[in-house]
Amino acid sequence: MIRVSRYQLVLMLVWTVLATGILTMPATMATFSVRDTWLSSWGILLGGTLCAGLAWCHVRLFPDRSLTAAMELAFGRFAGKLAAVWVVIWLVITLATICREFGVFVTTIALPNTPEYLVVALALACSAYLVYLGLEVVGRVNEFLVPIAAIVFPLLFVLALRWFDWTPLQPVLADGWLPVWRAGVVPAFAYGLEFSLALQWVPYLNNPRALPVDILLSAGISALVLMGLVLITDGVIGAPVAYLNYPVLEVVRAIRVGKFVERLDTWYAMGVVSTLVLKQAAFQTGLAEAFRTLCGTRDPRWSIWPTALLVWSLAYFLFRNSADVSRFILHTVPGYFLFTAVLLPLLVYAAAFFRGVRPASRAGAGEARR
Amino acid sequence: MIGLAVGAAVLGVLFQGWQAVRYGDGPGAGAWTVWGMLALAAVAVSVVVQARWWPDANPLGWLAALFDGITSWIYLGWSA
Repeated sequence: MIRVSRYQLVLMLVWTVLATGILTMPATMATFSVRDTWLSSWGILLGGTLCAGLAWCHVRLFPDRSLTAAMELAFGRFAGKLAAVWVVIWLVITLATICREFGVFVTTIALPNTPEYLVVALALACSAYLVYLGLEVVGRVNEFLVPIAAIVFPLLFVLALRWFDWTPLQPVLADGWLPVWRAGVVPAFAYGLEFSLALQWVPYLNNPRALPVDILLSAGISALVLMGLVLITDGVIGAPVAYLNYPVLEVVRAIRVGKFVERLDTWYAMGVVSTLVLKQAAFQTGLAEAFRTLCGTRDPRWSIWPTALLVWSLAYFLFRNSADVSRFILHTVPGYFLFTAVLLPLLVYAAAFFRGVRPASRAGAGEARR
Repeated sequence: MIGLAVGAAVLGVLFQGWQAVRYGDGPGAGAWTVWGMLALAAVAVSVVVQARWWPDANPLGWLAALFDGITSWIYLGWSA
């Protein structure tokens, strides 16, 4: 098995958080404040730090196990399987949310006459195929996207600076810290806690001991990028940003150089679609690994296509419209993720510590020794 | 559409579950695979039942009931 390098891991984590983050976070944060949201974007770092702490515990207790496999060792067979089922449900619901966001975005901005479920079916087929090929392939596709992201995205935003104005961002902290905290809840507890997905990838990592550092690095990069995006959208659009679904897209649409360089939003849409498919693939890999450990099979691939079909149908069953998705992210996801991605793993490590589960050697990736 | 998709998912899962039982390894792989498949099938059936007889019910209402309070606490008292 080809393992995932640290570079690939950081890229995967960054895109896992920023793919939907670029789409929805500026608008969600603007619900609470426009002036100070650039400060709230550092909330991702809070979520990332929590996940890095969890990863530190995980790689010391279970250096070659995924979170769902560790649950069985820590809680015992029956309770461990129940906890793993909870994680499976979490991954399925999160994937369904991502798929619905993807469908709404593509049909809103590019394909208004195409049924949403066809768009999502195509995206899921791509991501399922990537997962079928293995996590390292997902990492390699992430590497392939780096030049596009590193050149095209900054260029788009530099071109948008022409309309930038500091006025909507001043005076700083005029309403105090409360709106800053509230606007930072979604970046911290909805998107920042998605870094804990890496705990499901541990068996496939080249250097799992470095996972906490890699998560912190990814969180820092993500927070920096988000801060840049929020500054530009708030500075270019101003207060109306609170009424837009895709403020970053509107900023890119505003770019026009002379009479021939315009409608650069196509580039932006292509980038977002690619990263969203990679985000789906990242979550599907975690889900396949969860099914593998839950069912005790050697190969995770048997569950990929059936669960893709299940997620496809649930994306339309769970959410009637995009407002349902936003309501779920704003009101339910922070508490749900805090419990599932932080408290539950903490219980696992506490149980493992008190039951005396000793770390298994990476070479003997079979049974963990008690 | 939902019934068709979920039906396809259930059939796919059951088929693949059978494959996993046949070719899988590890302690108790077969039994747990069957239980896992049955649980997924139960979820899928409940999805179809709700879509058919309670179309206006919120399928994520149980999650909202469990976690909206915690979220409001994280927001330091804010709730819409």
